[in-house]
Amino acid sequence: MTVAASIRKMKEVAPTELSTALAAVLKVVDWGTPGVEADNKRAVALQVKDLNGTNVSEAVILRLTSSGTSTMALVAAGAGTVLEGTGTDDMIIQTSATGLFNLEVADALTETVTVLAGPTGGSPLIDCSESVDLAFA
Amino acid sequence: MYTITNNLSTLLALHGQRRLIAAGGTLEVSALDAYIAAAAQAGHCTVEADTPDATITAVDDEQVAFVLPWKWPVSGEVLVVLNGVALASDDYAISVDGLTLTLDDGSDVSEGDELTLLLYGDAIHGTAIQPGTVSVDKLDDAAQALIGQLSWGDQAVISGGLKRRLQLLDAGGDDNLNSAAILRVTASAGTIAIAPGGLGSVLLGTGTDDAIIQCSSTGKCDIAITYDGSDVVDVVVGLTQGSPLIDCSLAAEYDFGA
Repeated sequence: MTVAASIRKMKEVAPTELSTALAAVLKVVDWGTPGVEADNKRAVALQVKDLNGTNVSEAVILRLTSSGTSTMALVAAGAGTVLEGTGTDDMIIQTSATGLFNLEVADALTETVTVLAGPTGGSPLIDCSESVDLAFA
Repeated sequence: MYTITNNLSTLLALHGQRRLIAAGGTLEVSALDAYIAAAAQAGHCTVEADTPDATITAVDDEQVAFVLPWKWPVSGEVLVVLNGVALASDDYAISVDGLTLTLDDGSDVSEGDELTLLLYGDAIHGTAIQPGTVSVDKLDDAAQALIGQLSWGDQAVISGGLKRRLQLLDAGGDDNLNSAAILRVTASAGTIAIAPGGLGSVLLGTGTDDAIIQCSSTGKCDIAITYDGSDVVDVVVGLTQGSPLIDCSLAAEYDFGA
């Protein structure tokens, strides 16, 4: 370490410089690219990551809600577990041990469905500000 | 030696060295001082250690205490040389904080004598970040924006009720958090709405005591409470679907008895 690198001015420590343990305390919801519609259903992966963009190594409980006339469920043989509310627009889910949940959204109407995640009982500190929009034709 | 590089587009004055460095220019110095440290901390210059040594010049006869140019690695491989002769390890001591060198009283030091501080390889560390020392102020803007907090403006009277501005702040609390955050607002009585002409929007539950709101892009929401009583209405904010990380522990009182 050079002297210059060791002298840290105020407001200089970036999120990427946080320790792995600290970065893992603050989690983020990340949505994958939705799959194509088939039989009025679309799949999309929810992945919980740490602040540095690394997949977490724990199961996370979240609440998922979807708009319109849609319903949600776990993709057949997908990762994660639905704890409550499968087949509705309001589910409590638990990701796999690597933070993954394979969501399937169904909607018979032509509309765009917005899916939001949020913290609920049993949730860790997690930023859920990213949503996903699914267009149904 | 240390090479100081001026990162500014103007001259950089190093008062401790009584020297100026042209924009983008460099200067070699034998030891760091408080001015260089301050300039480096402000990002005005870059400091690179070319060789792991530094020289301190005695300013008084029989001087025993010397301020070290860096935080001394007490347990590192170090050596103190006085006028070319290495001192025995019991001829000097380093303060616990690693910042002061003290010679034995019997040391024969004269004004102008030079003490050379030798460090070996990895022994030169400067002041590394120690566990438990990184405060919120040390986090950069991006890191401070990861965890927001609430602040409430003063209440004001509007037609049929009272309003207060909810402003999101960053983790340090000094800067506004520019986030169109989605939050849940509940009131102990009355009904919730956005104040006429106010910032923010109600996504769900307007006219009830339990609403989902979205702040403006600047993290503001003018929350109005309509109530026909004459006591205090407590308003609490919480996380919900789509919320970022916000500390919602600060509630607000709407005092209809005032």
